[in-house]
Amino acid sequence: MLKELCLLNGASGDESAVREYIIDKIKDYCEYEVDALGSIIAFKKGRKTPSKKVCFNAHMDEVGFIITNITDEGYLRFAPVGGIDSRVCLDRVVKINDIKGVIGDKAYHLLEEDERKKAPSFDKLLIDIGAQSKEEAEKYVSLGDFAYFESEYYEFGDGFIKAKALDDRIGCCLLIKLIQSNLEYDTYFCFNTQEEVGLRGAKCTAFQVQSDVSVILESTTASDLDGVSGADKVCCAGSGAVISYMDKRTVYDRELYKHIMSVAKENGIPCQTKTAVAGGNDAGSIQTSGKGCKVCAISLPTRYIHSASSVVKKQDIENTEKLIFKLLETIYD
Amino acid sequence: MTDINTKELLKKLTSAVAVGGAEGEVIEVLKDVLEKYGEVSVDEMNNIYCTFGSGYHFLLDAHLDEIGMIVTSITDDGFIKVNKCGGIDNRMLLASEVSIWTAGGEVKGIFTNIPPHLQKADDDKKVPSFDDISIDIGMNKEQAEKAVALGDRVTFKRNFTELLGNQISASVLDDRSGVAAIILALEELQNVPAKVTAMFSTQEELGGRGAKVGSYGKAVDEAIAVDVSFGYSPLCKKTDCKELGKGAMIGVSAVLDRVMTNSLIETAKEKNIPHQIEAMGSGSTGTNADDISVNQSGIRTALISIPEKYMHSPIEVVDTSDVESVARLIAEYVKKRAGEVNA
Repeated sequence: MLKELCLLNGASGDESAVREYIIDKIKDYCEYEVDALGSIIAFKKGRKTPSKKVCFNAHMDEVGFIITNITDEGYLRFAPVGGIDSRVCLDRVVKINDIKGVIGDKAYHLLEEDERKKAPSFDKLLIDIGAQSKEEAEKYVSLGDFAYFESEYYEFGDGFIKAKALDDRIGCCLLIKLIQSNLEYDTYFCFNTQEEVGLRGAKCTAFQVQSDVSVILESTTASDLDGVSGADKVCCAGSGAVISYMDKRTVYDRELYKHIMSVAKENGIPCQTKTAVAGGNDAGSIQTSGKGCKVCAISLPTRYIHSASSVVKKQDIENTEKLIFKLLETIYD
Repeated sequence: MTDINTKELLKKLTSAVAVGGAEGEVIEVLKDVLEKYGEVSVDEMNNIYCTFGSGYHFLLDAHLDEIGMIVTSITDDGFIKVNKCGGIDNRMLLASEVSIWTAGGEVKGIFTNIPPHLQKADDDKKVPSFDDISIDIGMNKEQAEKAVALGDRVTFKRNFTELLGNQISASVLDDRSGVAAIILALEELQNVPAKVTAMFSTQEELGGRGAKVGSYGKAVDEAIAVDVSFGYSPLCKKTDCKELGKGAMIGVSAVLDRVMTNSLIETAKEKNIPHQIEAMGSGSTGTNADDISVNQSGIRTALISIPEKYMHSPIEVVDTSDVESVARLIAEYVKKRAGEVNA
């Protein structure tokens, strides 16, 4: 299921393929509605109605590109949708509608010495679809169309997965599994849109659900790489789910943070926290939407996030799933 | 002109790996393709030849090696350090997918990225050096040392993408598209009254080393080198390039044989073969023609190129109609010239 989710294309504002896939997976297990921004709000009846309203969240959108102009020679200008480092775009294959293109630059031999030392910014990059003219390109592409990295999903090394959009199809995948399971308590689930362009979809779903407690399932940057030491690693692949106490958008509820850590410890499930205040997710808008709510984030340590080749360890996904199911036993108290 | 599908041939040729000094895989593919045309042999440097016919001797050269990287060390955390074999553009390294070609087969990996929280202002414009980054193969040191050996070759992930029209984007079209053009020409030359040696040479990307050895001692009368050259895309100067889809680029240079060059241009005109003139200054063409022409007592040599965009990237682009124009031009020239010398 994670493979199918990652291979779907769904940049912020273009989430329909992901939404349809998810609805198909959950429709027999819950009640749901799609809101004005395209987010799915699902409600699953449990055996009991808890005193607290609990909501689990993940976002459907991924980073991508949007076509902003077609040149007279039939090449496509584009801008990033969400935070993408322009350096992970050069020489990649992209998909636009049903055709493919490549993001190329001058031959290496023709680069001046100073050009070789400077990464090209987005305004210098073009997508080449092989069109001979603007007219030919316009038959296949319109301004405002989205483009996506052409990226396979595969497993490699010692139990790692490489794919695009692991951020946050992992969260979507875990949410679907929760909905498909038997729940003790009534629970809400939000599959949010537009996270990558400013935590927008979640702001509106949180307003509608008005939960007491919201859990955000995410993917966060792991920097356990060659040349990075100590706290700079932030979190490590293979060390379990990341429970955040603070990031750039949110100071998380202290009691919830401690509670999740103790549930993990009691059950012998590996987990970790971030060793730096870095990143941010939908918790930032959910916590302050409407009357506000308590928030916590459980994230998968992910390397090379926001590129065509993000990497996660399978064992971390399994341990995160275990932790969430254990948490279901106590989070309503 | 032939029954061979140019796109299929290019797909087959570009899927095989041949970083300078480790050409085994592409040699096997070529043996299979070439055996129907003539006698196939492989020399000490891994140049591969296909020879047939007798008489006036034509050497047709394209290089089979490609740019890549080589494993130089394994870190304590199991990351793989590499350095380049041939001209690699460091600007595209971050988060790129690669394959390490080991004794046990392919090991997939990803170039590490510099995480945003560790970047300083303006770092997003910085181009990483091979010291800054390494390849993540998802293994610890012990596992990595079992899977990968120092000296193993590394390539970018293979890619074969059909664009609009006749354009295709793939890895190593430099110079497998030249190899393809010669194979297509061989189809037409089976009954030519001359001796033809197709040579697919190694280590061009490391300085024409294979062709130097390969053109030695073969009593060659004329040689044609086939390579790729700069095709126009909007980020280049028009004056630096020729255009895709406009035909074979006939090289004109101080180091190339003028009589052959003029005859190639005439042949192209006579037979209505799309062509463009690539006039080059300086004393070199940057191709195997430089080395072949001064071999032994000298070999008359011409150069024909296929216009290519994004040279030395994993997404190089050529137009298959240009590959076919080059093939036709070679075949028509050799037929005409064989007729002249036999007359």
